[in-house]
Amino acid sequence: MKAKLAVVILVAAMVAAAHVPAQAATGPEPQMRLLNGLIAEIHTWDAVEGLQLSREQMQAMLPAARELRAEQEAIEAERMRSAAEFGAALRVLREELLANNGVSDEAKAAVARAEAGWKQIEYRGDEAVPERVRAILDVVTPEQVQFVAAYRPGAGLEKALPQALARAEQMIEQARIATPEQLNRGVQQLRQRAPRGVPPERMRRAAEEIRAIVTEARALSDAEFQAHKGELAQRLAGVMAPPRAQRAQDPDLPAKISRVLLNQSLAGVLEAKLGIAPLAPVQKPPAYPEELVNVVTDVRVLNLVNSLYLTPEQMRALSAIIERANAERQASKPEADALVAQSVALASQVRGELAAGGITPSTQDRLRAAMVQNAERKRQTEARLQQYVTQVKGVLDQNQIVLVSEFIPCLIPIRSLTNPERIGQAQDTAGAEQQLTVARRLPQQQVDAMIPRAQERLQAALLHKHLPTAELEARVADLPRVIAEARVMSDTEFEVKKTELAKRVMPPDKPAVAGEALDRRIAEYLLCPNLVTIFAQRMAAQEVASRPVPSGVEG
Amino acid sequence: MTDGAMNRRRFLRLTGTAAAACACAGWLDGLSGAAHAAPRRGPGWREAEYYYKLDGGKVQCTLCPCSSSGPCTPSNSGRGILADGETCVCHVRTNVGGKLYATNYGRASSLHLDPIEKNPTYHFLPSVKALAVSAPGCTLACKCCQNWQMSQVGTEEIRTIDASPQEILRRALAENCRAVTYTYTDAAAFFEYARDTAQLARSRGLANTMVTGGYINSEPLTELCRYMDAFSISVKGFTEDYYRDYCRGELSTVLEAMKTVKAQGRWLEVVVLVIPTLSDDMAQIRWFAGWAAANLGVDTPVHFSRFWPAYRLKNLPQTPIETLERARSVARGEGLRYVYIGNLPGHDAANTYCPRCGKVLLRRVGFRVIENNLKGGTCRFCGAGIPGRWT
Repeated sequence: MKAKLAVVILVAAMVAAAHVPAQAATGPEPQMRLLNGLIAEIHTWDAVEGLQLSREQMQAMLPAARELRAEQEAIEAERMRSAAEFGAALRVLREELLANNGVSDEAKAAVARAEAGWKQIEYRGDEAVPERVRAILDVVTPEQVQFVAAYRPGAGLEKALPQALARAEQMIEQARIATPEQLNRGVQQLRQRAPRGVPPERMRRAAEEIRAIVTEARALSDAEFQAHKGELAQRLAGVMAPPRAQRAQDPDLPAKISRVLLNQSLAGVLEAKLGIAPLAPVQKPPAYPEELVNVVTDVRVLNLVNSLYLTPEQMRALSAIIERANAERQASKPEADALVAQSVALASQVRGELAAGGITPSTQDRLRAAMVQNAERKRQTEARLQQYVTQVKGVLDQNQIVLVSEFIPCLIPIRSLTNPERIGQAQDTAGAEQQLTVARRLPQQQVDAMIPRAQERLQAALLHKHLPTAELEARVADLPRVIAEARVMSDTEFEVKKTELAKRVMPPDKPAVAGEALDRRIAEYLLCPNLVTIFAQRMAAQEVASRPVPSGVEG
Repeated sequence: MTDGAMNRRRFLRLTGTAAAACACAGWLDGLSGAAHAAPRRGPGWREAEYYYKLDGGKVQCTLCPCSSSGPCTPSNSGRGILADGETCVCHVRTNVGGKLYATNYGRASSLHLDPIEKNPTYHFLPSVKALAVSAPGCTLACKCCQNWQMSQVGTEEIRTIDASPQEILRRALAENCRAVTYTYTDAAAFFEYARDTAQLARSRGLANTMVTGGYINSEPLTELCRYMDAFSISVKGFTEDYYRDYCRGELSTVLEAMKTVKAQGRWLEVVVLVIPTLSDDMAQIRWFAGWAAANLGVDTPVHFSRFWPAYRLKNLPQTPIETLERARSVARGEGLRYVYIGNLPGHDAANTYCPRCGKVLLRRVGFRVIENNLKGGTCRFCGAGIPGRWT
């Protein structure tokens, strides 16, 4: 059952993924929002089903789930109200970024204020998370906790994906003609590649199963093998799928519980399962005003293109590529829309059947067919997108590609992108360096007294950096050591090493992206349809600026 | 009412007298304060070099030309002449009892590990890690200063780190630096400290590079050239008026300094700060590029640096990219072969191109070299020799 559910999730996720570039500029359309809402709810259904919660457990969880739903609705309502202020601040920033003559402190401050208010709303929702996680932990059994820790939508389903099957088929074909030595080496390599944390006993069993499948395949004639290849590959992929034992050791359990269960649809699912209320309408993600979505996109894209120093020729070439990509997008839109509609219908049906007690075999068949169709479409979309990404890369020079890879998506331009690092100017670590400088001067007693409070404050600061819990805790735990090291250093040594020390406390800058991640970034930012208008405006402005001043008129 | 009791009249008389006494005392205090204005020698002070002792406990500093270019002190004691207790406008040279002291000797205002490209020096030991040292004070007073918190103050006005030349060397070696850079403020203002450190660093095989506004007399500069391997001299404008109004200096001295460095056989790179409305006139840029080509040689790298609103010029915008690109084009038109644009990380004008085949020799993003196509100081593609010190 869970496996089939995960297929649905995977299908929907793939449909969504295939549409990301097209949607980036205009924001999710109603159907996409509905699909996303359905996916979120099906995730919850899947998790709740898998947990096999008793009626008492569900009843115990219900008040917290309802509270969460009400709170999320209030937060969204508040966000909608503050969207106007945010939009106004961003419009000013966009105009300044379009002029590309630096951003005024006023514009930055206005956006920072609006963004802080926006985030404040979000953080307010985060505050109750630990308490709610504790409430869930009080209700569920240790086995159920293990299930949540191991839960990953579609994780066990990778074996059913066409590409995973294709890999398995290829492997089994090679194994049929391999010598026994090659076979042994192959099995050995598979064991080495297994994720860490898998118990040795499980590894031994997996190796035996692989050997059995291969032996079976080798015993078949060519015709028999062709007939049974698919089935054998499916079994092999199943053995090689990431085992849940690895996930069960996940140290990030509270975050995981929060992600898997603590969402808006939990209350509806529990109510339906308990028979308290009929299946409620799907909770769709909010639709922010299209203008706000557009201006956010513009600002993010402008922050990147302003740091690239594009020449007019490059702008012209990029515009042409974007227009071609856009034309293709528009041409394929009816088909994509139909696919989304089909996915919505399928997901709605799955949701209805889940609420009624289980998915029917015919729905399972439709899911399989949809999965194959989506996988193929995803492959085609990626191939087409890659073609445009390659063209964009051809227009940019290598310096610009490095800048794209190092770009940190932002609303307010990052200092280092526009102004090189200089001494005396605040960097990301300046605050932490200052704190360490102060800590060096204080008496030991005072430092000892200060450390718990400093750790609390650091934890609060790091909470908003979305670090994994383990890393966050490690950084907080490292604080007393960092302070101790800073205190024993000579003045000169501290002066030279303070940035390094501060980086141990504060998260480092995001690393540069490469490979597929870079291609995705290029697709998202430099194939953004809004760029065509931006480039046109910029080139027009440059033309006006370079036009000769008529004689007799002071320039 | 008793005799001893306070009535209104007595109260007024008493408070009036007390107020007068206080006012008088304050005035007297002021007088006595003036009589004892001479500061005491602080920790780490060291007798300065390049000055004359004059009659009446006065001294005349000859490190930079401020003594010849106008009043040097707030009290206007006369053409760079410092009376006892006075400190020069560089903030760091003080006359105490007829002796001139460098108050910033061994007092670093910052120590930092930097890539050498940050100076900027693009033709000198690429990608080498350098220990950057600065001390308070500056011989110029540029209104556009990016580091004014350190350069436009005296030693006691900011937090400094006690770092003797020996300590600097120890730290540089401990951090595996191949060079020491004297930067952030003007190394001319911590002449003695920079010279002693450079001498020591050179004795241990480290290179020395100096970042300066070039406002220093020829004699001390020539002495510095004995220990420094490379200079990055910054030109802030192209007219004497500009230097007088915006930097409290003289263009002629800066031009002379560049010629001195070149004549002493040291590696020189020139940084031109392009400030909107003040130093972005293309005719002036053309003149300067022509001057540099004729006097410093066409192989001298010139960096057109983007202005960033700071200190007392926050009213001006940052330099438009097109202006910098135009300036670069103009300078290349005057024959300069290595013209860069600075403060625009990632711009392709930060790369070094082979003047013969036009291919990229050193590709830079920010202060990092991400591609190096030099082979023994020559272009890997066409074999053209590229001036600079590469290893």
